[in-house]
Amino acid sequence: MINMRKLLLVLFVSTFVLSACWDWTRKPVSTYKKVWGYKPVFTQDTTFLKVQSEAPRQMRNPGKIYVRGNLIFQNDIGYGIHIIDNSTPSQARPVGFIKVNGSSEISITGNNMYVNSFTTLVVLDISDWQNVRVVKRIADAFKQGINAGYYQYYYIPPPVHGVYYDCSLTGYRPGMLQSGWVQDSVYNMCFFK
Amino acid sequence: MKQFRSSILLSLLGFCIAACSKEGGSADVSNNSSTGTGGSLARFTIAANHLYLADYSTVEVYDISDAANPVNKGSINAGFGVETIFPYEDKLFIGSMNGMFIYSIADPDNPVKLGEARHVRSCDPVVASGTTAYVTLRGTACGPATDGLYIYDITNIMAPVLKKILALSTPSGLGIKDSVVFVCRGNSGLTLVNVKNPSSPQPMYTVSGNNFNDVIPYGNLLICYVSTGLLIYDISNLNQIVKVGAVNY
Repeated sequence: MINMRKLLLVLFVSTFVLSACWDWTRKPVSTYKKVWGYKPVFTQDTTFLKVQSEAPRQMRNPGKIYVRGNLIFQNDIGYGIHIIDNSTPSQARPVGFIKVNGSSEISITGNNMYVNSFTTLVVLDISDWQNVRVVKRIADAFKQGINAGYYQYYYIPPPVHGVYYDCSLTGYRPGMLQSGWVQDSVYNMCFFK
Repeated sequence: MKQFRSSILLSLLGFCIAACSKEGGSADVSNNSSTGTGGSLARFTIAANHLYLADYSTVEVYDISDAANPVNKGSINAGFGVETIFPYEDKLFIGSMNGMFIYSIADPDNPVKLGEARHVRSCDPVVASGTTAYVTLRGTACGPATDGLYIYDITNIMAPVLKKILALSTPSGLGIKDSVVFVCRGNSGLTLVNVKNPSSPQPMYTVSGNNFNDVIPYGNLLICYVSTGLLIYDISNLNQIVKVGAVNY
């Protein structure tokens, strides 16, 4: 019973907050029931945290933007950062990608980029952006929401739009990372529009 | 062994580069030229050699004078659901779900709250210019607020005064250049608003055809985060901005 109440609280608060700014929507339904949707998969495999420069790739979930000089950076929510050469705006084109799983935010000064990776703050040396180097990781820099039992513990959006997803903490334990999604029967509480 | 030695050399080299660039940085509170520019929806910002990070109900403060070793200097308690941080002059404008908070970072280690404007629960990115702050409130998923561009007089920073609400549906990120505010409105497009007289904002026109989330005015360019990726507009003529580029991922 306590678990159920906790689950409902987490469901409510997390969906509310996620929907607020991540374009994830809570569907106004009067009765919750199970439907076919997506359930998050959690892992303890830390190789999932590896950060590296890669060739340009397809954008999956367009995210926040950041500009410095002739380069534009755009986050691919959950996956990393696309680098766009904007030296000729009419020919702006992707020139590289920095893989950072669990990312959504970027800030840059000097040779360094600061980016989140799940609950870790990662400092990268991007002086050679085709060969970025991790110079520091600060674990649990963003643990507050998770410790409180709500907020963004999903960092990778569902693979397709227009689906329900499980927004409870089922299967999550502290220290785990979300590695992806799997199709399953879930409550029709959270909807990825 | 050889590899080990070369990695030492590399790290020494890295250290030198870091040291040099640090020397070049100014103690000035405004962003130095090597710091980039984020959008109004940003939850990270860098000002005065400090990194400010939104983490749910607080903003964490890190001294990054030594870039490779951020030092946590404590945190600002900024209400419920901090969503955006916008640096302006020696201040931070923090948009949380229940209001706009203005902090002085004259002492970057110890931000001091100057003023706040509470409002009904909402999403609310902020930008500022001169003695005016511009906030978009969106009442859909976030809370019951009336959608629109909220304009605050911050002449007295301790007590922001709401001057005007310009009703605009589904507003999101925003940006300002000269006396024009760009308001992203999702599928409703990008609306330009003349704020020469902030008490009497005049909508100019709306660029439609894309789902606009956020913008960064950058010199004569406007970098737009749209649902499909990225668009670039030439904004040298604010009466008629022109799309010059689109990134196809």
